[in-house]
Amino acid sequence: MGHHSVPNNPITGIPDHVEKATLEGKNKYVAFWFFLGGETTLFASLFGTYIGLHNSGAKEGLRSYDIFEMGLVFIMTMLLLTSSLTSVLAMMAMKRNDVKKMKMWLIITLALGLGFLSGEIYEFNHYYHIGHTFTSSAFGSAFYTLVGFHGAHVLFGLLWISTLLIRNWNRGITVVNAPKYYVSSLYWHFIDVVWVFIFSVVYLMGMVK
Amino acid sequence: MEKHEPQLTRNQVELELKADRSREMQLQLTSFALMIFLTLIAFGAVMAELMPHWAAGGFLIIMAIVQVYLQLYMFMHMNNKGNTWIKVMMALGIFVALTIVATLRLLIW
Repeated sequence: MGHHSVPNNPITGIPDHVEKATLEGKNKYVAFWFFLGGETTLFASLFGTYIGLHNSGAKEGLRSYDIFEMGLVFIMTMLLLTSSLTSVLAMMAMKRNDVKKMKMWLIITLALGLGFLSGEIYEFNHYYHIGHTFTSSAFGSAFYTLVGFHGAHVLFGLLWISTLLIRNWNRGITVVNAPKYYVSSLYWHFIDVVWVFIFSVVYLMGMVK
Repeated sequence: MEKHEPQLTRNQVELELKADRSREMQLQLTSFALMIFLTLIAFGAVMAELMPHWAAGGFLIIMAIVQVYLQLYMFMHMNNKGNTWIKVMMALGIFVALTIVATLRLLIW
């Protein structure tokens, strides 16, 4: 696995595209995009269900425009969007073999992701207390399935990136761990892609009466 | 006569690398600024109730598609050379996704 034919860049000391310097790295990269193509269809089925069941069976006062907390959703959106940028900055640091900066940006990414997740937990708890639950209406079921599934992806992303950081904490950037960092950052961007559709379709459209 | 490739000095390589990096950094920061801008417009338009009901859905979807395009092509580098299979897979995924959304939209009432 350590063997690779791509020469090191004399300045950085690692290959130029370190995440794709080995066959394994290339395979991981392509296969991960295949997976993301599949995730696209999975989220589409949840979005389709949500659009079909929007406000269906919800009582007066528990419709989307009655309950959504747009201030909180806006803050969560900014946190996740910024975390997508810090993840880009981490990968740029990785490519110039600056492991310290990479770790710093990844930790900031994790902190922003954690902030987002806390916001979502607070939000769900709030909805629960005003009577909008998983079983209160078809709308509730569709809402929690879609938004909750995205939240579960955020949680998985946080655990994934943390695990990579802990496992490789005392290691430099190599052709072995670079593809792992790289696909985890692709996953993190994809989470933001899904959120863009969630804040547009679920929250913003949900506010239009 | 043998031709010799001009040998780049270490200094030149380093300068080139630095130029590449600052170009990349500029590109990414511009994309990020655009994404924030699009988000602000979308939230602003809805919260200020600027849009008639019939126009809101289309407008918000267009804003979302532009932002996702930036995310995929800039942040996730889908535009890079040699990414044909990736584009094929994502195009297929998006095609199936649209079919699913349209079907469910029409099926549930």
